[in-house]
Amino acid sequence: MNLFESFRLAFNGLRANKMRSFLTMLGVIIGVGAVIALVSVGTGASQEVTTQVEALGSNLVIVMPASARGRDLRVEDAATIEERVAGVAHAVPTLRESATVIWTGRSIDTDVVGTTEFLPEVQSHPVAQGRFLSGQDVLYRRFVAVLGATARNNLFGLRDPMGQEIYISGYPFTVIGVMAEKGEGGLFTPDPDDRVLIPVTTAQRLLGTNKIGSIYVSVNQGANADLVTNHIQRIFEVRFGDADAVQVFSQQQILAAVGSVTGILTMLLGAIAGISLLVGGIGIMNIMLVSVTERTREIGVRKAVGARSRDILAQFLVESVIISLVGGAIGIALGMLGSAAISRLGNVPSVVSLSWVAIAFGFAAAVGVFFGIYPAMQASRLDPIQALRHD
Amino acid sequence: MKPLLELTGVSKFYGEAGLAVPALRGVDLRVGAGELLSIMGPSGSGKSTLMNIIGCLDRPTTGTYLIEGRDVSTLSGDELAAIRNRKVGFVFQTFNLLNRSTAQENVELPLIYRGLSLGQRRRQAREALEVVGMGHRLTHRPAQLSGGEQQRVAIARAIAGDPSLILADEPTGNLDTRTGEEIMAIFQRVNAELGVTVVQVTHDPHRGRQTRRIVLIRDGRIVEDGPLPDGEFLAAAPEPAPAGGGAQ
Repeated sequence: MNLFESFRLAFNGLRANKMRSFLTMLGVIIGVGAVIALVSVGTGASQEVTTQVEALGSNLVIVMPASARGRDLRVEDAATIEERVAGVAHAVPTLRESATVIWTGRSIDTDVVGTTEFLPEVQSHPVAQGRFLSGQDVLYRRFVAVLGATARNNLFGLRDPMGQEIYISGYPFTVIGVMAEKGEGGLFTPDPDDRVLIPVTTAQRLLGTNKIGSIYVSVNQGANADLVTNHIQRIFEVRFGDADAVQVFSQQQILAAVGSVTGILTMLLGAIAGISLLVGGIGIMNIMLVSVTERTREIGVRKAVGARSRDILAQFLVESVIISLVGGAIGIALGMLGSAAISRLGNVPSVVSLSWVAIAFGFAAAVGVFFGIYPAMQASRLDPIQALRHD
Repeated sequence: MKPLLELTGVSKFYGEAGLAVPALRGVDLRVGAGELLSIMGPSGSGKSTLMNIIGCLDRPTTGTYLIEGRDVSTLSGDELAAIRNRKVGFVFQTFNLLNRSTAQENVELPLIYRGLSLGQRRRQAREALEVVGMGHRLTHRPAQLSGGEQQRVAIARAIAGDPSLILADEPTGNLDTRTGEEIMAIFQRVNAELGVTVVQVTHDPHRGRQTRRIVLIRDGRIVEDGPLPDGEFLAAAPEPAPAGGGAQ
């Protein structure tokens, strides 16, 4: 008996009990669908984070106080880095604080970031209208502000913000420019468009402080970011006498760290979904065992007229494999739909990866064989005399 | 001429060695090609065991069993399946048709395991169903057929593969007398016209006299074996005249 006959027999067997076959298949459909949907969302999230970190600017090194026993950074530290570390183009201090910004009675809550004239260069974030902060603005602690695209829209709508007076924490600032739109973000990193940029010196005066938040360092093209990172680390180690007082990351290090976290997240989602696929496989085994018992007499008849053990084995094994393969195919389709729905409803990105589709389908096939082989062996080993007596 | 079936000193024991219960004790039996015979005996006599061995569903514990000169007493399960598929056609008391399949599909069953093409199977199945007078019921399922019709389909399944031997286990046991006569008539006709050997297991003396040789078995031994005396053979009446006359 050839494979085609086995498939024909198996299809007839499944068709005879449509509801039962469908419910058994549902276990696989849900399992595979869950794997595809969850892993797609996980992959999408991880790609989103990667894009956002890359959007911070290439050749970027970030210096910030360590969270546990951190020491405060000063504006002078940025100047020290720029002067002493070879390969550094600019070191830009930033001081971030959320604040209420008011313009003629309209107010928004946004981030106010104190910085210097090199931020557009370091963060690859150009000005769209007017001009950016100048060295003079920083030096003389001027009350001037550059709006991020989102902050500008929220505050001014269709009106022209240039030259307008806005109030930040009660102090008047003149709008001198608007940043280009950098694109969406904000899920994993602060939204680069929803902020107002002012001179770092002015921000320190407003907050009554002489410290800063973090330093963005841009590395020259061709210079080694790792060497720069190590050098900066050493400078602060000497200054504070503590290697862990300050954290220094290159963009690559952030990407690697973020990548390993989101990779674990994706694997975890996949594993949870994989468990439901396993449960689906147990469902196949359960129903195939019932089916073999119910059809003992049929097996007896088939053996009496000349079916060999492997013919019976093939018939039942193909049944369980059909359940898992058809279930797997439907599950992939539903999983793709599901990931698209999650991504639209939850406003999270999702990416269906072909390799995961292949893995899920292969796993479903393996589940069909693994959980189908035992019932099929039971069937093939039946003694025809006993089987014919069964009722 | 070599006999079709040749059993020599065949014994069958069930259970573990030492505690073994004998079902057959040293049975010798020869059946020639084209014979029509009955194996008779009370229940528990061992006739089912003998039938299972003759039908290659089971192997003797000791002794040899040759079909067409080939020793099948030591074959593996799959080899026995191949012998059953080509040499033996089974007819059971309870018909044992597959309920979800049509008459034609049921008759095709042994041919599937012989590896025949679909067209060839269909043709042979149709021919076999025509032989038993069921050519007009190809697409009916067992539930749509009467008991007699189901047994006819079962006989068609047995003869479809052109076997040397038809083995019928109480083939009329679940049928009324008149339908039983029809079934016996088919066996007699198949035996006479196709020349196929028919071995019937029965406990009904009347059915026994519708074959030409009776083998009587008791307590696992053959106690009588011989041709039916002349004049005793009963031709089965396909349509027995109703006793009281009537509309016919």
